[in-house]
Amino acid sequence: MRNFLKLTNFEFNRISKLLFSLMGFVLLIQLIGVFFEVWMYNNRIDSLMTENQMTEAQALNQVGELSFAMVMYSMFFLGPIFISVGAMLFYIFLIWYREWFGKNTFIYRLLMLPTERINIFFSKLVTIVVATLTLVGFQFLALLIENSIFNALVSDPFLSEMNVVNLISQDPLISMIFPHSLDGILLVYGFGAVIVGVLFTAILLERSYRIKGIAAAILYAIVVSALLASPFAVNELLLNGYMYPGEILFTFAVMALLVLMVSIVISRKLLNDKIRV
Amino acid sequence: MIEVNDVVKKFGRKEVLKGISFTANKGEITCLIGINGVGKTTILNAIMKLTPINSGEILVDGKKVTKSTFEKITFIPDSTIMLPGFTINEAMDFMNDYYEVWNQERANEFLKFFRLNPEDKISTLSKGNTAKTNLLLGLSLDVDYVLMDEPFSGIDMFSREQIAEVFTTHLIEDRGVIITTHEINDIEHLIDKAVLLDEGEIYKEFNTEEIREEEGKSVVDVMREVYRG
Repeated sequence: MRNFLKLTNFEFNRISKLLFSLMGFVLLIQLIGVFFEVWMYNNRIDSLMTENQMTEAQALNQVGELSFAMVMYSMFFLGPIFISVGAMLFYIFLIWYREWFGKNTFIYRLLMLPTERINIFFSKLVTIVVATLTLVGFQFLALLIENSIFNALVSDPFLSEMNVVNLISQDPLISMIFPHSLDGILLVYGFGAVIVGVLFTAILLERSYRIKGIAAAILYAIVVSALLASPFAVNELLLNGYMYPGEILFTFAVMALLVLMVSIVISRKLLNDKIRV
Repeated sequence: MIEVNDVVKKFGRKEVLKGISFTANKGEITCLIGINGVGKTTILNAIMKLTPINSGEILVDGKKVTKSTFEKITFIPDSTIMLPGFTINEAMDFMNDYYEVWNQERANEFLKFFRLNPEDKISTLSKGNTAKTNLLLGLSLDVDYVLMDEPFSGIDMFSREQIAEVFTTHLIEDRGVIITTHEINDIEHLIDKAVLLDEGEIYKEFNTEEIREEEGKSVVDVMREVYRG
């Protein structure tokens, strides 16, 4: 356990640079988005007032109030999120492959540590999950900050003040990142962790058997997909929709846990007996 | 004792180890000799469970290699296996964090002996100093067995002399050492046992002292007979 914590701390230090860069990037671009949308809006109002000789009320009437939704559903807001998701997906592979490639082959040291090798797997998995949750938490904080800056920038008659939580729940994509219930959080991020575990197993299959391992990894991914889809498929095809949505989700969660356990067992075996430096 | 029993290793269809058996004793330096590509490194990797074997068995003090074995045996590969961004100090801290048998006093002795600067980043070290740092990190573990892969290859003459010197000091004595090399000259006078390999098989395994006394031959003489005769 102590070694697992040490390894996790070590892995977290290694990801921290990327993590802080992503946070800075997200906040910066989204703040630019806030200022840009407000600036664009003010420009439109101004030009209507100067060029079309409108009063403030007429201009407001024509353009409508400005709400934070304009910022939140813009690429300034979503772009950095997509890039962060992409970076984390890339890191799932990098966290393993960098041990083999590059000037120094750190995998030798890792595999020769006097600890269960599966701890390497767990430390990397926990690092990815914690880093992701850190990013999500930061994004929520950033959202609140951006919203209050926005509210301060837009003067009263033009501002349509909106609740951030409502805005989140209105967008299917954003509401997936911030589920509104604890169950939702567990489902989304628990499932995410299971997928990361499956990808790790696929990577270890490749690292153990190289080209043949890629075939095995693809096969494994297909089997896992079938297992995870089975609750939905059984309900639709065999039971004609007999199960309640809650029951299906529960079965799905059980399947996901099963998949995670299988991944751990396979990865443990690979790390102990099959892995190659 | 490290026992390698009838170990077979294949890469695809190619058999790189064709049923290799030998032993290495504590307190002795055993040298695996052979040209490049005969499977010397693979044997060391297999002992440390860094590559799977197809059949056979490897025992350290009569037991299979598990996590606790890594407090008893260390492997010094011919490349750096620490993070390049680490300083030597950070690398030593890392070792100290995970290994109960890490001996900082000995590490300090090595720093002095090799004249290494602990504040230097590993990625900035010369080839000779990289090899010395590898040696420092491996040999500062109070382990019974040390595996070294080509510790002399590609480094300057004075570094080689310094490294060879280590073998004659208390920094090595009492341990069991397996060393691989394709250039025997640097350590011929140091080794107790030679294992000659070719194409995945052991040609000859002999005690250097005995063959010197009984047949009046040096290791190089025996190698000449085996590889050229």
